Amino acid sequence: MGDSWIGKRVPKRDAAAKTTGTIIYGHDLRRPGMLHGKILRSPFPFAKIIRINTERAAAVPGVKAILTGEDVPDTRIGLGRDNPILNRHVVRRVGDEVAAVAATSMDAALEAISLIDVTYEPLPAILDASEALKAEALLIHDTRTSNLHDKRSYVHGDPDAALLEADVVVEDTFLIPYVAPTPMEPSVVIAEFDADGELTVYTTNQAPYLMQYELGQAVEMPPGRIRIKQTAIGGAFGRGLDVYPFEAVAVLLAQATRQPVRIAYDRQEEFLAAPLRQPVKVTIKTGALKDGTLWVRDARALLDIGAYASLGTVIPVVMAQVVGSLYRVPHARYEADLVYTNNPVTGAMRGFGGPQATLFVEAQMDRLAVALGMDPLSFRLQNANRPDETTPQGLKISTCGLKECLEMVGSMRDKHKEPSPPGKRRGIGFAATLNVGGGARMHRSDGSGVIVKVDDFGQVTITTGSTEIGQGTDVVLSQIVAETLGVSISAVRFVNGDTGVAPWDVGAHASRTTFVAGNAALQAAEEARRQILETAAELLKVDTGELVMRDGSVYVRGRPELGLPLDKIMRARHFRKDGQIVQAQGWYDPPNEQVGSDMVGNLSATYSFGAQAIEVEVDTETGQVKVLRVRTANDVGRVINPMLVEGQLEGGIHMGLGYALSETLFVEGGQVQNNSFREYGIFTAFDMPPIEIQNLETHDPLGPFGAKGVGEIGVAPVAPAVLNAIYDAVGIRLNRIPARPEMVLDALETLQSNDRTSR
Amino acid sequence: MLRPFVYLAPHSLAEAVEMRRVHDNANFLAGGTALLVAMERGQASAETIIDLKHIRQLREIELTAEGELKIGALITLREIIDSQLIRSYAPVLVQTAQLTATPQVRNLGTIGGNIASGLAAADLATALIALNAHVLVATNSGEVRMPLNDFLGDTKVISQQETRIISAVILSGARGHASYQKLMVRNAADVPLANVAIWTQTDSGQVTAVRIAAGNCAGRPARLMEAESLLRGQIITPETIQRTALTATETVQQTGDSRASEAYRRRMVGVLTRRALTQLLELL
Amino acid sequence: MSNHPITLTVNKSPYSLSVAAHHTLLDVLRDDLGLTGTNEGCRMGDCGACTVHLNQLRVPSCLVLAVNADGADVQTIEGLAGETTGEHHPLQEAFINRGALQCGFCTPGMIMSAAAILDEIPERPLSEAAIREALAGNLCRCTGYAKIIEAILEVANG
Repeated sequence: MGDSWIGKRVPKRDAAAKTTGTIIYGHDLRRPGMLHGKILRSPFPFAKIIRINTERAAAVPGVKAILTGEDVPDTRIGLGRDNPILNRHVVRRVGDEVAAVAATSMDAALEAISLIDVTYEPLPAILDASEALKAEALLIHDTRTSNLHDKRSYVHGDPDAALLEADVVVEDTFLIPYVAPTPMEPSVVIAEFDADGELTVYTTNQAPYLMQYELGQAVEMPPGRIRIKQTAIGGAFGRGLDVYPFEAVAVLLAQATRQPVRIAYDRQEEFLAAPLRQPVKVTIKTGALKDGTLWVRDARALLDIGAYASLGTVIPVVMAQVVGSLYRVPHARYEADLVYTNNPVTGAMRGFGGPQATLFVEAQMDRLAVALGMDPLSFRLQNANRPDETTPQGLKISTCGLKECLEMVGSMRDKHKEPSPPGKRRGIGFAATLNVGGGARMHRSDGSGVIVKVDDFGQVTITTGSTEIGQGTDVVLSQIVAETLGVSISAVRFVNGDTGVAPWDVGAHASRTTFVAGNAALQAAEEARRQILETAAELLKVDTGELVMRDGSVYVRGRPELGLPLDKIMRARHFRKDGQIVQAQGWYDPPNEQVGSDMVGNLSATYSFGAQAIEVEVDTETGQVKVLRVRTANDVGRVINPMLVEGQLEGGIHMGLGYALSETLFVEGGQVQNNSFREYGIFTAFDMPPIEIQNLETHDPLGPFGAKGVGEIGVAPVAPAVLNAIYDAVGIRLNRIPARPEMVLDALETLQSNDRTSR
Repeated sequence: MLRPFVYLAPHSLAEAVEMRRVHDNANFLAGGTALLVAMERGQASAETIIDLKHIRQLREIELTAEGELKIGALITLREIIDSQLIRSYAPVLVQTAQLTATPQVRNLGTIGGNIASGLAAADLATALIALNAHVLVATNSGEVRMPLNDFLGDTKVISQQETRIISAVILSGARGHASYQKLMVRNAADVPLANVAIWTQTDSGQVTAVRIAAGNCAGRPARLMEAESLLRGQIITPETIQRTALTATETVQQTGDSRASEAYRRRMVGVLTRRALTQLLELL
Repeated sequence: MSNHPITLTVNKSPYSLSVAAHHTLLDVLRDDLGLTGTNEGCRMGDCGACTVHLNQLRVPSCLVLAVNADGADVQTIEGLAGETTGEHHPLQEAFINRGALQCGFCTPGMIMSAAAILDEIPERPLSEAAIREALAGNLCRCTGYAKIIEAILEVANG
């Protein structure tokens, strides 16, 4: 057997196109006759629309269509089906869609938008979730009886009794802020009708088959007449999981003009209109027995979902999973009130509730250990999840290397710790993570379809419904198929991103693509292999059991002189009486469960685990926190491509460090005030510490070649590990992020003045 | 996207001043890194852009007969970093430029633009005030030379109605040492939370002259006179450093915003003052 | 709206164009010349995705008015490979082989910046710290920069 493709550092299939600038992103795409669309957005968080006058705008040369709420279907778009395409009577957030223009140039579209006169009557905006729940609060959606969108609750064991039984209980309230996914490519869509009235939508959406249906509902078209084509996508991180008004607006402008219409956000519009990571206010108690047994968690969260119900409303499922199943905890409760306000809409962002919940759960693990007089790492090790165990929540954990991962990162403390320079104090903090690693049944189907075609020239084409957002689906599926068929990677072509051609897939979320689409690809490749070997066996007059596929040929085992190249086999199979081609399909829907309103059930077919140790240096004069190094150890099953796994972890850690220390959205009056990268503050290369990655390779029985999902496990443990490291360094406990200098310095002062008074 | 405007490119300062006189709502374009961003964000608008790039005298660095260093307004941050003349004359400007914006932006952004942008904590402007830089300003009534500190603060010297084009920054030949300190959340690319520049001249350890400037003082960089007079005539020691820093914190005017409170900024001005003086002590 | 005739040399080819005064070099490269490898990430000079070489200096092309660039020599990602004998520039090779990209949207700007850094900092071996500082104007949301730094180090130091 030649070299295996599994475990190899194979470059992404699109790497050459991306490094030479030849790949076509949504922002690059131009269609013949294409018009430029632009949306007029509300400057008010809450207001009645009294009157819209488009006369001046219509007179701008080049304007082809202007739409207001009166011109579009009175439907609702988005996960909660509560967001009008263009608002007729009321706007509920800054940035709400009010009118739209299509014009022959961007200049004309901008000019026209600036000339639409809207008269608003501002209403008292509700900018705080607690205020929204008061009886006298105005209803943000008058079709509802309250601003409470939903209440979710999860429980196992008897938390009330357990809190009394526990020898030590810690309680904190955490305020976890908005952050923005900010993929480097802002949102974009192009809608185009063909002569037969079929609609093609070019999009950066990351769940195209769900988009097909949702968009159909919104614009009142049969989804079967809609074809979603993904362009190359310049990052997503969850932004592209829901369907938004601007996408329906583009379709309706295209319908009105019978010309293709493009709507492309710039960065400011991206900060204004794209969904943000769900902020959380949570009060949590964690209790333990004095022998160090973690005993109970009890969390109560208030979630300000913003003006419309997007994917922010689904994160309680993941938060409950962290509260209920990260470490072995016999009693747990998680309750959340989800509340409408006139604030920005919250959506999905890498980790999907995991970063928020891991922050408060792991910060409390540290505090509890200290309260018990235990070492934080030993306390974690004692309570770590174990393999082949079903948690009280119903998570069927099969492979689990959490204990080993904690030990791996724990050794960072053993290394000689350099003394802190004057005015600086260093410390190390730990945190772990549990994440879905075998899909996540958020939808009735968690499936993925793949077609593997082998042509007359021995070239293999993978056609998949799965979505490529940079994570490397292209090369992972190629490796799986090349491995199974014994061909070179270069003999495999990767095709995705067209709902009109590729089989269904629920989308790129929940770290699922390698596991789910990978299994479908494996299945399809195995079926193709069976068909190829069937023909080869006939040609070579041997049993299929004696055949091996490698180096693009089929050989008889032990007799390398008896081999046939793949293309010959394919032609022999095809060009004969009753000839056949090879086009095999794989469909994989993992054995996981859609959890009910109780949030109990085995959401994923397997789970990934990780642990991180982070060393920081706190400047005690300024409160600045510098990250010196990060070590991460992860159980991600078998590693199919180390380069990609490392890339997911490094990128997740980068996002987590920004979350912990720098990324800040100042949302005032319902509006993001700092709509630029310079003011938002994602980490630059100059801010990033060295990252040491150790992977513990388990072999998952259900994963393709033993692999589990890795996309989100880098991010969640970062912020709590940083907070725990800050404590280790200077003894302060922060209940908020980002740990900006002033907050750190204030906490240091409070600590010092408390020390003085207690002396 | 930028909205349409009329573009003019004069070849002399006089032409530029005249263009500004006849066009309402016109703005001068230097490196563009502040103006175009402000226009892109809708924070500035202009019906006319007067691009100064063809005015050659704005691109010169020269040592004058009087021993002053004259830096043309269109000299970029990158050119400051690369200029041996500036490095030998005022190394603190090189250090300041290196802490400003990002490498790409430094290839466009100019010394004149940094001053004219009116940013409350503009890096170069803060350092230049500590250096007692003067500016040459072209106006409708001819060229005016004035201290940068006055240019930024005093609108009486040149009336608001007058066109003002900074043509050059002038550094006197006075010998001394200077330090620029900038506090950011990230290591680069951030707007400062606080910034301080200090220039001192000493004679056998005694401070004969000192200027301390901090950014973000009521919307502009400004001198901290009380702290300066406390240090003047003293020998720089840990004790005088501590007292100067304390005075800086107590007397500096800072503006709080969502990124940092007024109180935090005042304290940081003290910390940065101490750090700057400590660095200067090492240089002496 | 005013239009202006300009000439540009882009990737060694001369162009005579008529550009609107308010269109940036980025707009002209992408919309008029179809050179879409230079990406638009922020239009505020913050992200570096639109980095090109203007008269041998790396600049955010979103902060340069096209009319202001009249007569300039411009190199974009599309012209980088032409500098070398191979199919790809060594930086492109290294980015590919080290997995220094994910979504790829920052990649052309990152590579153009890296190419400039190799000239800007003559010291060899080029230190990791120097590269990190010099890359502060190029944001990446996917990779955490680790493999990007590795790729540049490989090309700089062999």
